[in-house]
Amino acid sequence: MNARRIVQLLIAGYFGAVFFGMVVCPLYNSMWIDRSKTEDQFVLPGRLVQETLPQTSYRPNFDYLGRSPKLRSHTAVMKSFEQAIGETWKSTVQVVSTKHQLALGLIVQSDGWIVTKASQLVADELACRLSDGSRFPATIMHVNHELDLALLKVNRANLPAIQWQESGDVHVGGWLATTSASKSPIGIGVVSVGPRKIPPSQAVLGVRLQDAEKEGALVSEVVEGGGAEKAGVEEGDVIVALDSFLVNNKEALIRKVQTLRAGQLVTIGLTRNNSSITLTAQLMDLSANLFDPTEMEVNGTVSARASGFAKVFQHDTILAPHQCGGPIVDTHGRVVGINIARAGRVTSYAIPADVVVPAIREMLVLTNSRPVAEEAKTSQ
Amino acid sequence: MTPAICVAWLLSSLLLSSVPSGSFAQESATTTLQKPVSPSIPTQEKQSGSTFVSFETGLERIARGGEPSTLAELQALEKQQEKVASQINKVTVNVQQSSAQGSGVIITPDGFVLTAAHVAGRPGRTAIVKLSDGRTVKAKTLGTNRGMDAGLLQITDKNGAPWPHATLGESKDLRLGQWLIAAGHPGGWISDRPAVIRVGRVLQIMKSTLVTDCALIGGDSGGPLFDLNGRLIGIHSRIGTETTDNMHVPIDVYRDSWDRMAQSQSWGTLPGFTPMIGVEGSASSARAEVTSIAESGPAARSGIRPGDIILSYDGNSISSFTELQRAVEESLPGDRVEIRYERLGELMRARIIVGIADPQSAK
Repeated sequence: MNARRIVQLLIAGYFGAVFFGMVVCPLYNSMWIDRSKTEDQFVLPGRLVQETLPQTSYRPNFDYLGRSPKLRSHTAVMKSFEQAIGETWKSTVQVVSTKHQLALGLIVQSDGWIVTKASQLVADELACRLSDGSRFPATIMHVNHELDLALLKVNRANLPAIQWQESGDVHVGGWLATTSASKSPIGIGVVSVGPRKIPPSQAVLGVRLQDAEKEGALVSEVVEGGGAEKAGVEEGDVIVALDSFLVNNKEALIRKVQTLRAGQLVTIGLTRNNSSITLTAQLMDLSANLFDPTEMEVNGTVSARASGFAKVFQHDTILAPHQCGGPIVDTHGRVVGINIARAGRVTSYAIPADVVVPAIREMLVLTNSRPVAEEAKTSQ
Repeated sequence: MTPAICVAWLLSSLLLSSVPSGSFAQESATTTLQKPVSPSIPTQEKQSGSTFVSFETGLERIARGGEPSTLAELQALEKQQEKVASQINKVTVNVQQSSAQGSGVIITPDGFVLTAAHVAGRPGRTAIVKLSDGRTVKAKTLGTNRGMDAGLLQITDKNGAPWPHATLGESKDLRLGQWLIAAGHPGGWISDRPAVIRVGRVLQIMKSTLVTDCALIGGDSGGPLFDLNGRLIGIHSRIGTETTDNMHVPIDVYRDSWDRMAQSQSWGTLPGFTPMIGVEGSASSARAEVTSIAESGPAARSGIRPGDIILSYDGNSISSFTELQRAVEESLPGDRVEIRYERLGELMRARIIVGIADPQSAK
């Protein structure tokens, strides 16, 4: 990645924004307006431009010689965690597309019902890879958008369903292990903050816009790593439609996106060199610091949907977005929640068991899954 | 992100800060040289401070930097971490100074707060300290050892003293692999969120810097690093790209620098973080005339051009280019500074965000 080029690009974009009154799509403009208000207190020759500091600010020259290999995730430590997590890994699955892993998931009912992180499931075909190595096609049966959880079905019986504990209390400073479909956990960390609400942040498309000559919004820049870039939007494209909404101008598009949710998929109708193209893009959280390259670099890849949760606890396990959606376990082998988002360098979120368990039960009821386990319990 | 939040990235207060800066009254550093109450950083009087916790049994080997190899050891380590985590929230604070936000830790009953030099900024300024219970108190910035990124504040509000404060450790006693607990306010103050806890180990010990895998991010700067006994052994300073590149100022640096910092002295420059605004001039000239401008540097971006004569920098009047150089050296990368200058007899002003001199580019 040519970081310097990105910095220059963004700085250039910033200049453009000042001089042409362009607006970053979509909420970024409100921060922007705040800032220009501040600057307006001064009459400036040539106006002021916020500087992006060079990337060297994060790159002291490290002397890796003499660095101890005694990381917290040292092999010996991971061995003791293998004892801690018990059998939970057998109830963990990898949710995959034809190409790669999309998320982790957990078996919630033995007759093939699996729960995972919904906004990760951007693929034409889904499959689940189980702990015994077998692989089955999966279908999305239900989505709970509030929790960003999806209920999947695979055609298989007698699977090891996850064992929930009555109390999934977590203690700040206490250890947590994230399991995958193999014996050793894929990550460990501690509870950083107890359960709390994470308000939704603004969804963005990841483009900078100008009004087009006629109808539509002209893409003046595509932000690297954003949903638009992944979808194949290019600089110079004119966005004329978003889902069924016709885009008259830049403002209209911004307002429309503001009503949508991060993680959501949108269909973009655009014109490029006089031809019409339709693309599907995923909206992302502005909290992903999409517009600052240094931020992106130190934070790593974050989940498209990383905010807007009624109750999550925060932990410091280093996860990739495709490692969310599966169980998180304490040192007593209790499943205390489901990893729901990677939100930054120091931040991963998990939905606690007391929220997840009733939500899963509800999803199973809504899909008429005839919960076998429940029936068995009540008949005893 | 609300306008109230501006974020002090680990070694700079750049970025997205929409808080109007310059709202603090600026005092001259020389008028605030009053002697601080405490003559020196408290030396290791065993359990002074309220964060000390004794060891769980069965932790002896791990305490020396070993790995828990059994489930029982892992759970004992966990218990110890939880005990420390429950003590350190009350001494960990959020620090707001100028347009930057960072963290800090209270170390004496009379309200001395350790932080990073780049969070404290310049001596003699007003800073806002937010305590874990949401109380907001005023503080005054004291000295900084910028070469080590060590900074000092003192809470000036009397209401609330004696302050809860951390038990101090000694960084010279640290061993590689030792388990540590980090706290801070990453991303700035968030009202319903206490200090954020992380756990990692000592990966490298240098006289000026500790490296750990306690993952840090902007806003953590100045926050405390504790050992398993809840003793303060370092202050967060800066990061690299990898999550194992987290750097902290060893507590002993504060001990060694205490007298000067307590007297509001500021000295040194952190290697790789030399402040610059991108102007050149002649030292022999009678006035601070800009002869050339670094392309797309901070000065160029705020509209300053060759031929302009700098009259003041951040409120201090400038009468020669050498004075301007000194003034820039005193500032920190990311600082927002007002510059007044003269162009063709007309008085102008500009705001500049101080940049970092690129070590690769020849002067």
